[in-house]
Amino acid sequence: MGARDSSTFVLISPIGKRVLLVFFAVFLVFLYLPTILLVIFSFNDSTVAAFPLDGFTLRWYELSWQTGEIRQSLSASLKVAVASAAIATLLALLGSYPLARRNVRFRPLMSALLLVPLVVPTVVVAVSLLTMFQRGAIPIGLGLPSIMIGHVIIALPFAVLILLPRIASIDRRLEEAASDLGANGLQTFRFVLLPLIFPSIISAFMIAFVFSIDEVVIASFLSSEQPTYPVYLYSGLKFPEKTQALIPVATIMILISFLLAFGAEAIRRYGERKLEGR
Amino acid sequence: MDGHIVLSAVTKAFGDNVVVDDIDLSIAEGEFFSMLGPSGCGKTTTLRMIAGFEVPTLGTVTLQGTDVTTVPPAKRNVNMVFQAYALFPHMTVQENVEFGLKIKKVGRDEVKSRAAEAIRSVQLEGFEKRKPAQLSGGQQQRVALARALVNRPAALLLDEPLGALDLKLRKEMQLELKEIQVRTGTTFVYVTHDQEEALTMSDRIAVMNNGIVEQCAGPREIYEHPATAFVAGFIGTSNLVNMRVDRNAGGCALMDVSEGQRIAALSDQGSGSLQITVRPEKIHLSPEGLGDNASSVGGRIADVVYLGSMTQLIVDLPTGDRLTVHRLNDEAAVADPRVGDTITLHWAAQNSFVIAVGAAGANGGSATAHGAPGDNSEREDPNA
Amino acid sequence: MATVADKPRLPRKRSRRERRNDGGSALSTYGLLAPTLLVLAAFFLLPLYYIFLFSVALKRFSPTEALAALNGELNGFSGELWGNLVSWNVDVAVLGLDFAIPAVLIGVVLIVLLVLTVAGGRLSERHGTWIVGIAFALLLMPFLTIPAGNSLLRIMQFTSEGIQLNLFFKSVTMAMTSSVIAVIVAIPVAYFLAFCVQRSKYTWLLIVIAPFLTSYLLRVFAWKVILGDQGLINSGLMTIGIIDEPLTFLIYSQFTVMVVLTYAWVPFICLPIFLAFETIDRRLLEASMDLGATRWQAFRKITLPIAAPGVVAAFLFVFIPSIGEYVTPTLVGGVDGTMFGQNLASQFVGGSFNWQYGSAMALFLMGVVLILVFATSRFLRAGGGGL
Repeated sequence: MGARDSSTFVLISPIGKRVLLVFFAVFLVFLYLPTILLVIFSFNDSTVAAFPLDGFTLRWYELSWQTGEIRQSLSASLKVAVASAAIATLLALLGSYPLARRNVRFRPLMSALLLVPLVVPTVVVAVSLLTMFQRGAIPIGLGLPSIMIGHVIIALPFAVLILLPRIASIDRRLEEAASDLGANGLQTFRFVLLPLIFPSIISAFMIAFVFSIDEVVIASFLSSEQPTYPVYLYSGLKFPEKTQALIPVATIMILISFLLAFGAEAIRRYGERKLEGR
Repeated sequence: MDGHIVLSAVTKAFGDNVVVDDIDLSIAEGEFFSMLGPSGCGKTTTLRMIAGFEVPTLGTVTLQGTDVTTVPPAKRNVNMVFQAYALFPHMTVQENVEFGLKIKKVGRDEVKSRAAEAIRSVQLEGFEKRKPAQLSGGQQQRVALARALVNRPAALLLDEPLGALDLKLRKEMQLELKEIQVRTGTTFVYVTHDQEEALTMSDRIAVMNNGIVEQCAGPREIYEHPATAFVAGFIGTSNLVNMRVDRNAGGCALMDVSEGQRIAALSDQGSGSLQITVRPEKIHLSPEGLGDNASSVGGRIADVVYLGSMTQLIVDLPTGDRLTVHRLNDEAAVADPRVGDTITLHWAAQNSFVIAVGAAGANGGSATAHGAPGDNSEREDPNA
Repeated sequence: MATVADKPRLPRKRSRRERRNDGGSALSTYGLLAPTLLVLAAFFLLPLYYIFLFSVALKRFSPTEALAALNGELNGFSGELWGNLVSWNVDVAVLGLDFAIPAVLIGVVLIVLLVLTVAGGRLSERHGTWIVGIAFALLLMPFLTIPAGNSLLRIMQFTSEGIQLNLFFKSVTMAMTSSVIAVIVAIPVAYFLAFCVQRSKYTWLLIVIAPFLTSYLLRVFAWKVILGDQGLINSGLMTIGIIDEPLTFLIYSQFTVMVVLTYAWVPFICLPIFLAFETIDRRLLEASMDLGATRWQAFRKITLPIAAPGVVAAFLFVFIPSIGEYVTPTLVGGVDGTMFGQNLASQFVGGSFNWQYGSAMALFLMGVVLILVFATSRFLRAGGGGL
């Protein structure tokens, strides 16, 4: 934000720039205030999250750690998230490659089908799966596998949106060169395409994972006895007396989310740098 | 046809768009063969059919006597140097060069020694550990060559390999490519739109246009005896003259322009019309040593362009044609020609190449002996 | 040319060999696509087919007819549920005054405006941008909420005989209001990031977007802490002495739902708007100023028109998921802030338990959203490029 930058000066007056800077600062406070409050209340020595504050304590952290339900729900969520992210990424990879590279009949229809779960309201996906799992042709009932399937459906478009443009952006001649040098389809994928799209595969997985670990609508419709972490949180938030024990976990989860977000970005940048050979 | 690589009656269509239209080519072993033409002429598609990336719609491709028309690229003993190189960006120079050998499961020691040899042959020792992005354009070009040559292919296919380089580097690489080709004795099939590049390096050139081969011959033949108006126009600067044949004198068709002035071309025609072309450097300002039936025609200088070693004159002829004349700036060139001056141009009859015979130069059908003499007003003006 | 005249003509039939020879046989192409398509067919399309069956009473939840009658479920094909849901008798009130405009007329006007928004650019070279802009604004207007005294007033109030349809109109209004506010907040932020920040622009962008990647539930919960009766705002204001008792409209109201929806989506939509600004060639702006335009003119004539598709896409990115919202109103909406998605959900897992009616509601919601997406796919594609 150099003061003597002339290109910026052309676009916006110094006063306008200052106004925007203030707006931006206020915006950041607005954005991060709720998170900061959560962190503060996780150390607040009171049974309700309300002002004024009552002093410092670590007992809520102790309580969350000792609450078995929280640990179980976290582990359930982790299982669902890892499985659904892995499957969604794999399916997105399988679907994106032919759409990006091959002559596919009804290509627009196919890509639309891959992306449409993104815009169908989640609650509709949830209730439609609920009806099918309970009264339809695939009566597997409710539980973690059902939740996992629901998450795969919604995470798939995200993964496709990451992988499809990446595959399409890779020079087709690289694959031709490999095949010219004697590589078969699998070798071309393994030695040329895979290393080049690997960072995108990781970020597709991470996006799908982050989505699943926080998804509450599908999970609450399709869960049976064992809730996932968001479902447990959701029911906890509706009952204030259970809330306080949830805040420390929430705080830690938020920190992990931030780390994941910045980590994913760092990986992406590293991948790009590696490609440029720097 | 007998040859190292033979394309017979090959046609390639994408939907209704015929890109390559029934071509026949025979490329000899060890030859430096170029396919030259403007973009969209079908030269790259032809190359890709030899490589196996495209399957011909009709016709066959034969490689070393075997029909490979539908054999996939991985199973053909030819290698390609791609436009913009298509080097694997995540591999080092060494890994790029070794790729083909490792895929073919060549023994480790042999991989190492052959890769080292290939890298040496393109003078890239010391760059083995670098990634393509850390190399200059010329170096990347060499890696692409080494990566292909290390497989000892029956033929190396090059798709505009120098297109991404700047002019100076391009000239250097042209010589180096030719040198590598001669040294390794590999058959090179080279695609380019740069006529100078093709003339410099090739043993033979196929000039392509609109999916057909207009002419296939050695560089000198192509330049000096262009077979069609397209070839004449595409290779070098050429002057098209539409000629009305007034009489014939001893195998030389003549057009009488005015008193003492005529245009001559070697032809049996005694009437009708001819379309001829003449190279700028074959036109002289004095008639000395050109023989009896030389062309001799006056014109007005429309433009003078100084080009360093020579001067280019643009001259309007009374026939309505416009000629480009190159004149060396040597000591013999005394007076400076000026725009508006009238000068007389001379060239030998054998330097007028007949590229079309017919009535008034309109369509390229067969000539009729009784064809009407050409009418000036119907001539195609090459500058129109 | 004589040389080509007598070539044999090529058969103009499409040849089976007319393809790239890159090992990409049809078998492997569709073999690769098959698992993905199968999963989508089995777990996305088939379930939708089931709720369609439920919605026309071709399937029912209750195992026996007697139970079905008890649960108020229909037996055998019927369009009654849809008729019940989509009532055509709609009353319209503008700014609280009942004008009793025929619903058909309103519908026609809305459709004309929608068409103008989508295709207005093609009507006139010169005024296309204006036509689209004004049509879009008029389209938004009826669904916006404005503060009126201590409560909120919808600019245009639709009242239908159908309870669910009324609720749907209310949900559209709430979603629309929060989307518009989110866009208005995001534009300056994105503009600042794109044009004023020089160093580590993308790190700042990530800082803006990062909250979107953290738990949605917790962010909703945090707003409870801010807006609650003992929350930051109420306790703060009471400490200072401005108010004696908590402002009740802050929590468990439409207002709360809209604040939280806006907050939740703003970070996300900064991205498409930022990308829209970022892709503008700076030389265009410099050229316009070189030609004498002021900064404001350059913004209005160049920046805004070029960025418009991205901005519209951003709006849709908030609006589409917000119409079907279910979690936010449940946590902070109270009775006042109830939305369509909650009523839909309660047909399946809650008090109103009626799968058939719930299925009709779900398909109705999906239909509206898909029509909207289809009509605006041009913008969505423009704005989705960077995602």
